[in-house]
Amino acid sequence: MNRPLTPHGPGFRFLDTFECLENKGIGTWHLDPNLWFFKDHFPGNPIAPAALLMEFAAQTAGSLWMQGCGEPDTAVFVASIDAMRIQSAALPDETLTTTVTLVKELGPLAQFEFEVTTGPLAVAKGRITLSRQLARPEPG
Amino acid sequence: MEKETSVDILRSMLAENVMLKIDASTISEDTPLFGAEGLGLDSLDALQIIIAVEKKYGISIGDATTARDALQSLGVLRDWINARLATA
Repeated sequence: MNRPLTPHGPGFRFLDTFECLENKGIGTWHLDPNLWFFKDHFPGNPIAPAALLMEFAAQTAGSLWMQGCGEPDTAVFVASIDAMRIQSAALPDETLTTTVTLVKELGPLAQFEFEVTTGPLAVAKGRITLSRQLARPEPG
Repeated sequence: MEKETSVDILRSMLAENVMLKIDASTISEDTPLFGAEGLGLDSLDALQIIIAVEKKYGISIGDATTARDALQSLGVLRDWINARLATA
């Protein structure tokens, strides 16, 4: 059995393959037409949700960061999404590729730039900051 | 690459890179960037500012201690950047 690429459970893994090239990570995700979200997003007009495109890029960035740190099983968390642009719809049966580039790492935070494509088509781009710490302020 | 910076330039950089709760023009060179008595910026904001400084001036802030020292206020950041530009 292949080892999962991220610490997520099977229902929330959006990374089929991952390749690490120095400070870049390249991930792929095949949009199986039977994926759970296509039925309702949207009925008769299935497209991949933008939030999951972001999650796909975040999982690729997390893999790049943690594998580079030699801690592939460590969970990291999304701290911010900036300047995200959706450039075209991602449709069933397409295979998405994301390239993430480490911009800066400081303490528990690391920022990445990402681009998502399918073939020659640009799908999305933006910046993601990941944190080793889960943001959870004290109540009150 | 810029050879010198000023509080005005850094004030604009701040406004472009973090979500300020006040008008940037009211920020003095001594206003603390972090903490309740200052602008209340957080570590994510610090990372944004550091990346902006690196892109504009080619100066790397490589660790959290240096970042804390350099980002106390716009005046401190100006002096910190100019000291490094002068020796570059």
